[in-house]
Amino acid sequence: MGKILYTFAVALALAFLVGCGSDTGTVSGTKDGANKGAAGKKLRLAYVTNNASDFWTIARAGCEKACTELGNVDLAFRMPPENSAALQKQILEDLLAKGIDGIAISPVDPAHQTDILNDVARQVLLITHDSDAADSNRACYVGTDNFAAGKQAGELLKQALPDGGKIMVFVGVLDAQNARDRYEGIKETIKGSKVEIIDCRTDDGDRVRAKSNVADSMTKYPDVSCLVGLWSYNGPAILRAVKDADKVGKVKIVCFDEEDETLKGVKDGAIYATVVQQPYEFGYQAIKLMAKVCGGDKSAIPANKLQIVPTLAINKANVDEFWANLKKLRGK
Amino acid sequence: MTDALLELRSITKRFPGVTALQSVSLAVNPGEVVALIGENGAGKSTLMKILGGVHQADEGSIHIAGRQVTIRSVADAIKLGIGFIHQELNVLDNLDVAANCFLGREPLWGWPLRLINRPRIYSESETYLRRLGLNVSPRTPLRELSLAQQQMVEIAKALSQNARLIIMDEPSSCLTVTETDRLLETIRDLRQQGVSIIYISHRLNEVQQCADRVVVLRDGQNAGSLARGEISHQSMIKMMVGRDLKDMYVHGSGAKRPDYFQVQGLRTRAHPRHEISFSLACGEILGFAGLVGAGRSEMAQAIFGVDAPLAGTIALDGKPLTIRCANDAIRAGIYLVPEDRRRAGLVTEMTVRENVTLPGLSRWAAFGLIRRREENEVAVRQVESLRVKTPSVEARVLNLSGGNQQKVVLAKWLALTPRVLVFDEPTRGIDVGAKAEIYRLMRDLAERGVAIIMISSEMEEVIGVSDRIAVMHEGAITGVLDRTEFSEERIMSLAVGKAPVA
Amino acid sequence: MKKELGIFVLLVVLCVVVSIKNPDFLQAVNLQNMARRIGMYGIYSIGLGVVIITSGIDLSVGSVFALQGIVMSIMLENWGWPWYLATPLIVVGVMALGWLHGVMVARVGMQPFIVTLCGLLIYRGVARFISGDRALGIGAGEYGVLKALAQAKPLGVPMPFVILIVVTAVMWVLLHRSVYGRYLFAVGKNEDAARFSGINTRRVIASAYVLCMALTAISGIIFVFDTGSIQGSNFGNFYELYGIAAAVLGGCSLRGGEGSVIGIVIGTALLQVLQNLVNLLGIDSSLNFAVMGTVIFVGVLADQILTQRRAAKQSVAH
Repeated sequence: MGKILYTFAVALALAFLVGCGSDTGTVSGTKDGANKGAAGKKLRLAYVTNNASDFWTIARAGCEKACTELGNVDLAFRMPPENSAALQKQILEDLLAKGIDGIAISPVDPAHQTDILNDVARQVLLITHDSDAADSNRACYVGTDNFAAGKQAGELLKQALPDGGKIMVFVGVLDAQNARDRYEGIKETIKGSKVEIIDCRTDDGDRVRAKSNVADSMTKYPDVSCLVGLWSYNGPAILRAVKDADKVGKVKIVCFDEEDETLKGVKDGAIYATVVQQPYEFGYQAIKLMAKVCGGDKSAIPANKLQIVPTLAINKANVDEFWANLKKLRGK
Repeated sequence: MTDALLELRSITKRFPGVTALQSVSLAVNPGEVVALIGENGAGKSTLMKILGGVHQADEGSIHIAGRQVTIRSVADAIKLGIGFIHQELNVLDNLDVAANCFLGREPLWGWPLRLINRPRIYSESETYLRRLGLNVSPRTPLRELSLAQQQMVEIAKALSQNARLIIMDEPSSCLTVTETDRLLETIRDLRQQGVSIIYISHRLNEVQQCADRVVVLRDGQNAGSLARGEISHQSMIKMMVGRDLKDMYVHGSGAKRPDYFQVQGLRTRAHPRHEISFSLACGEILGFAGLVGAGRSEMAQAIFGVDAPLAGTIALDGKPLTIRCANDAIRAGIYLVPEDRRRAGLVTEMTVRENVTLPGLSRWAAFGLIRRREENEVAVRQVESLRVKTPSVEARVLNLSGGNQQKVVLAKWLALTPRVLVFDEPTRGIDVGAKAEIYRLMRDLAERGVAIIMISSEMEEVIGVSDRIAVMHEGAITGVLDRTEFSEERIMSLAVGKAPVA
Repeated sequence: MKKELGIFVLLVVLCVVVSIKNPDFLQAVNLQNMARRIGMYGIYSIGLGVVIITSGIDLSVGSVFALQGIVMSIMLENWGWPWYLATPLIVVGVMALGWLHGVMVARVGMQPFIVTLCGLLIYRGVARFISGDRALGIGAGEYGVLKALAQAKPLGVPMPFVILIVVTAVMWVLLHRSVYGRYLFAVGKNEDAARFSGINTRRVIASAYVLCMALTAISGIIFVFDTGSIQGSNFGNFYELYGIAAAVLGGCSLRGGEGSVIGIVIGTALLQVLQNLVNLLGIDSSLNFAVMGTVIFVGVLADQILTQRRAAKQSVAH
């Protein structure tokens, strides 16, 4: 009998300990769980990412700014540790069970998540960000037009290699819509030019593997002239590998997104240019959009259900200003 | 008794639910060998553990050279000059002899690096080894030594700790006859050097040979002591058990069907170059004597199918058998009570019931599901018929004493239908009272028609129990003796490979 | 019975505390989610428990899920095989992997840790290679029965949970009432003694691995039809650890010879409740694993201390 009581005591202690450390995942929130988004009451919105990259830290800043401005939003920011559809499904289920008014998600595998997304869309407001699931019943897509971004990158490549050359492309998962669109955009733009793609290597979101992929490629193709990174952490990974191989300046780098290492690389000249999305805007605009729609303003959704956040090309000329602005935004 | 080296006065020790020792006293003089005997559960181990610093007495006092001392830890005991040689040797066989000798007290140099002073450690251990007459280099890795030699190293370790009193717990249980003699000689030497010894053993022969005094414990209390002249088997047993144990050994009424169980040309993996052939009559107890390493256990395991033989035929009641796995042997009615009952004889964490029914489980099952009630009945019946002392059949086997554990091993075979039973060292580590019971059980089985093979290293046991004795040496049978030819000398000479003394 | 009672109490207390702090826990939707997850994770955890009882281990379970998922997707989607043909093939195939593990461990004598660790690496690599490292999926085909396995809710109880109950009942009888079960425990506790009692230890050990894989196959089918998307690189990642944790919490000793089916199920439930708790109480999801690890650690530690104290009380010296 003593054992049962002992276990009971331990369990109780644990549970309260665990319970006390709660509520750190929300912003400006208390838990009451009973409100359902009536006007003036707290709106519960969720922002779900596809992995745990630095890229999303910036988006989170945007989300939180929007929440502060709106004043009546409970934010649930969910970042699964890896690109797993199973994990995202669990997160969505738990959000629905907890009670939510709107979810913005970057689906890991849109082609096969249609059923789940439609299920969610039936119950609450669902929009996609960063990576679209056009076949599903999502209300809207907020994010980059990745094809256009790819084209922008293609132009930068032509600038970086005026006499043409061979390039290698690196990304996490080629199957992600954004990766594919960017890749297509690049391919389209460099068609007919003297820039030629050797191959594309994937790393599944593993930064360590991203770097070793680059190192191996440089060894295998010593005459590669430019390395292209399609996802946010590929830029820094390429940069480190190039530095290790002592080929800074000899091999050009064009990448995407604005991790701090990337921007530093641009500033130093090691990276020719980076095409930045504006993850801050992803977060900010997604939250604002959801708030408007939940408040009854359906017209906030564009006719074609696509709210494009334009990309910028950042090179040595404008990196300082951009970075300063970014730091200011993050500082909030 | 003021010049006694050690005095334990009125030691009482209680554990939850039982009083292990009640006012026990023991005195040891310098240069004296005192044997401490008693049945299992008598309190010998507890008393020694108190002396060795593992337990603390609840009442009573300990005096060394007239001064009262408190021993709160093993380190305390060592500092007072008490050394302990345990039954299971505490040696590290991945290190060499010198390292084992000086474990924890290595001579150092090069402060603050604390490096081991290798020349010193080797020369010092050399001294102690010589003192014991052990002729090995201190650099020898321990695993290359025999068990007996490893035991010597333990003694050397105790000596190097300046032990004035060495406690030896069942030291000869894993030794051969020659090695035991060597040990007894060593004890005599130590005694002459002024070291006292407390010798705990079930082997009354050895006690008779080396003890100056015998102290007997029974049920946690002093049951008497015997001076040198009074030491005899009968007197010792009488004090240990509290009654006269009439004739431990019962002779059989004569065997029938001399070729009931036949083994021809058996070649084991351990001794592939020798062939073993013998036959056994129904109702006969054939003892197998020999030195450690003679190949007896290997033969037993080959017959039982656990260690498939390289060649040979086995026939039971005229029918030849193919035995390639234990199950084949079991199905033929040939069972083995193995040497190491805790490793191979029992699943010690399981209950008595589960152990008793394990080999024949499918007999008490329907469609693969165990029939609990039948299983229980079988277990209860066996426990009763063998008089196993256990609180219930649901008790875990590891809580039983050695003798009762051995009975459970036997029970599991008796629950089936034995036709040939092989016992490998059946009474090792079992006290006198229980031994007598096991001998009686074996004889009963023989009378009922079971053919029995008994492997034993205890000369007294082999001679007392067997109807015939086969002696093995290095994998071959060197001779088979009839009851009329039994003698220790004959058995010994056959065991060492010499032709039998006429 | 005592061990299971202990973590059952722990489970109940946790549920009560969570419900107090966030009543959403008791919502039908949430309970159904929980039940479904306990079902999915519980089925293969029982299989892992069987292997652990024989003092072995199987680290390859997660990777088998990935490989199985990829192959199922290819069979059903790419090759268009009917489900009644693909399913038994898959199950037999996975059980064959189990048989392979069993042979390596029991006959060749390799250590289970090594054999199944290699399995973990190899199967996942193969899964990724076959799928070209792209995510495969189960589309909206007519896999009626299979889909129902994962998604049906007879009487409001999710099907996976129903299946778990059935599996639990069968395995309980097998493990605690049958001859085979007794042999499993004996072999796990003392292989030598079991062999000396005539038990065919090799066959018993090898069969444990096959049984584990059989249950893994069933769980795998449910996982595939629940998620719909299978990424070779991370499908089923770490799932073997959940299973092992559930088994250990449920009273299985990694040294072998101990365990109970009910305990494993309660252990699984405990893990799932913990995960749910992290989400419902708004604890930062990055602490998910940390919370689980802490609770498991404390639970096992408490059990260890109590066992030692009980053993000390019982030791009567001679």
